[in-house]
Amino acid sequence: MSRTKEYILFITNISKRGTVAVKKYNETMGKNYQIIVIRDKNKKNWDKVAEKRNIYKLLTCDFNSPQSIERSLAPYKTSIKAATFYGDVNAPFAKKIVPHIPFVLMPTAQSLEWATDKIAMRQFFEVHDKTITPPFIVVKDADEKSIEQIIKKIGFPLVIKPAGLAASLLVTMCYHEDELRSSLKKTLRKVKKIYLENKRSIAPKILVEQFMEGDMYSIDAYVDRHGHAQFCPLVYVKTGKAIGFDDFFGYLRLTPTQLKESTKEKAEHVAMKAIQALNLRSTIAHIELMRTEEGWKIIELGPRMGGFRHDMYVLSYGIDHDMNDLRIHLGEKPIIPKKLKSYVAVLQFFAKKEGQLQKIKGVRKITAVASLKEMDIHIKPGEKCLFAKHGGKSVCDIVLSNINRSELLADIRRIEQMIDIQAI
Amino acid sequence: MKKTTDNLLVPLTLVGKLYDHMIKVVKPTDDSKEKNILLYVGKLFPHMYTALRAFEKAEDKTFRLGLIYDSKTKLDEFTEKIVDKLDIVISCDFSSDTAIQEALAPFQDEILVLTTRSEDQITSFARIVPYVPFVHAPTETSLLWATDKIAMRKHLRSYNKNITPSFMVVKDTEKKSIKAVHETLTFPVIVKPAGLAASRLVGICYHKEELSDFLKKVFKEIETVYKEDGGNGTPKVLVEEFMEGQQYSIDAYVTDVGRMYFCPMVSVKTGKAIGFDDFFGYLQMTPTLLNEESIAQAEIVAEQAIRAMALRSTTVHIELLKTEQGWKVIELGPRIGGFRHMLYEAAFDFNHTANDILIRLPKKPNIKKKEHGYAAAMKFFAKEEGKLVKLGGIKKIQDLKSLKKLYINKKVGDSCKFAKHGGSSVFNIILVNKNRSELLADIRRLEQTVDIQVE
Repeated sequence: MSRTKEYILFITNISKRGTVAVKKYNETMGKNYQIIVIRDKNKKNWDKVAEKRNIYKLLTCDFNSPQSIERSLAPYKTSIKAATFYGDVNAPFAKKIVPHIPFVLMPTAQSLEWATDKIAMRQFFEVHDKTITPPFIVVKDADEKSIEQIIKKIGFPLVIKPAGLAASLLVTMCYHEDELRSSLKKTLRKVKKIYLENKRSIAPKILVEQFMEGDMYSIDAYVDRHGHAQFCPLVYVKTGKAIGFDDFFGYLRLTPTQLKESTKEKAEHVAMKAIQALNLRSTIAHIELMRTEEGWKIIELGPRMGGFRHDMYVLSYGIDHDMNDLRIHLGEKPIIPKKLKSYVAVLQFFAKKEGQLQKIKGVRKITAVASLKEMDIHIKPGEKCLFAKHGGKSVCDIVLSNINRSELLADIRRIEQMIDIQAI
Repeated sequence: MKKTTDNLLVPLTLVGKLYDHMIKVVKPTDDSKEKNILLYVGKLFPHMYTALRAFEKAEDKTFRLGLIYDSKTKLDEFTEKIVDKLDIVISCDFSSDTAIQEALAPFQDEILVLTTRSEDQITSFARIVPYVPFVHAPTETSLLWATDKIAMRKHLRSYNKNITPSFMVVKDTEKKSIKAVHETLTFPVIVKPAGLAASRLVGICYHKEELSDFLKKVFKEIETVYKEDGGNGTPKVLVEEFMEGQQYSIDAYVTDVGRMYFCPMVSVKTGKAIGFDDFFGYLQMTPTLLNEESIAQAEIVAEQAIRAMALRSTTVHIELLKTEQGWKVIELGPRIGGFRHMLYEAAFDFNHTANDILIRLPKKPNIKKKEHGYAAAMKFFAKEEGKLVKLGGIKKIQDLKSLKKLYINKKVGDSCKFAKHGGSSVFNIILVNKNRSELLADIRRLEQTVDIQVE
């Protein structure tokens, strides 16, 4: 190993876009940062991917053993200049790496933990400013006492969210007591099963919170080492619920929004409170917000980039989200151009019914849509289609971009009319 | 021959008797000719009959309930249910001036209030207004402006262009017309045939091709629907920019001197919000979660809309959209809003039907703003169009604690169409509960129980 080498550490994995961002950064800034990826030994072998992505070094260790981590990082740690990760799912791994790289700009391990624990997160929001979060309660069982407490403290409608599970997995809405009883039992049973499969020995906890009525938005922020945040543009989110599904997956994401400047400022103000409540620093934060009649409320916060946000921001404003992620971890100011380049939408299509996918009609036609930028099909005929709340993934994701908002909306309409996902 | 009192053809005593008789004919002298007729045009529903009798009792007065309707049309099934209980029923040919005049002449001085309830009866109401000159009523012209979607928007825009979206009028489906829309308006656009009630043939178009296809369909169907519904004039279609926001509605009472009293707001969820490609009012609920400031702003915009139509002495139903750019007017009608009597009675305990009478007397309406509970009105349509083969869950939903009233409009074998294609709901339901959460829970139970199947 050459002493002159400097590294950027990616925890668990690096996307193709991530490698491009490092390359671009090196070119622009006259650096020669090399990429190191550190993975848990229990994760599937990544050698081939690492080779393909031109990774300088792939480290494998036991994330449950600080000694194993130390051993793996030791040869490089003084030369690691930045470390980052993708997605909520990798935050617990990042938390374990943080103590080993004390001179790298990272959030504290504790704030990473708070920001990935649905319950701790809400407790901190409540302590910081209780007006930014809905009333909630934590239960561990579906006993009579728990049901009574939920009804008394939260009321209906409410949302059940299992702590420690990603995205909208097993997130269920309940309108009345019968529904609460059955959903709570069902959720606990399923969470226990998942925990068992993942060899997690702790008792599952369920977060029960008041359902907020309003429009959903999200925003990504760059938080520097001093806790100052710079915000990316807001994204409007239409969930599956708004199009007739009994599921909360993000059906449509659209940016820029139609919100007024003063409204955006208020949203940023509340998002800032959420960041401060979790004591985050040196990270990207993805904040989901609800615009209610009583003002902006926080749905959740993740110490990571929002899904599809790189594509959305680069197409809409030329914001290189991956590059800014590096910059924020390297202690540099993110670059956020303000000039609108185009309107961008991301659609996630699920089958209307759960079952085996028969066929997806209209895919060829969609490729001719003028605004189409990218289409990813995740489920093949014969594979199972499940709703997000049951752990399913979308059948198809589509990224669209158009300089004209009307044209973009027209293309969304065309696609909605073209696509036909048949499952039985 | 010079006329003297001695050579009159008719004796003087007889002239006096004839004079007395004539006076009796033209001047009401006995008690039965008191000015106490509440005359409804076109329709009078059972709940209104009950509300009016309750009003009578509360006022300690006796009213005669009357209905005047066009002899060329059939009474609707709800009016049929109470028509025998009415004190006066007048049927005449609304297309004939003399027929209307003759029919109303005996009652002209006895009519205390002239009003109407339904959107589809406003033009008939406007037709009757000139023949009942001694009551407080809106002008015939303002009624016509408020029923013509195009005139309405012209007046709204000239009053304050910020409260209504940009629009165009299309008379054909030619390429030139489509091009003009594309060049003038920003897509998506809403297509609304002028002169048709509710959301009939209303559709959203996101691009030129969709607009062209939809307009062709609209112009083809429009004439048939005009005939069925008694729609007005030659087919004209309004195309306006689609506004994004949350829909609400508000009913207001306007006095003869332009003072306005506002009822509580109602939130409206359209079919579009639950996955239909249709704009029928799926769920209407009051009270809303709006704060005082939002309500005050909505009332300012609603007042402007009423003033733009120059309406007076009437109840007005205003549909509004809460957008990022402020409140906008979707439409307004010089009438009580659908289900509003039941919603306001259950949630706020006031008699909307009686207030519609009071404002025309003119007297101050009795509006209560204190919440007594939560009320919702829902319309259920089949998910697909076709012949109704099953209407499941109806028995079960009758056990819902919040159930107040259920109106089943279709039976197995009937054709189910979307509102935009001229269809009506399979059933409507009114739900009431002291507790909002319980009301929402019953709505959820209802949605999960009902099974409308078509083929």
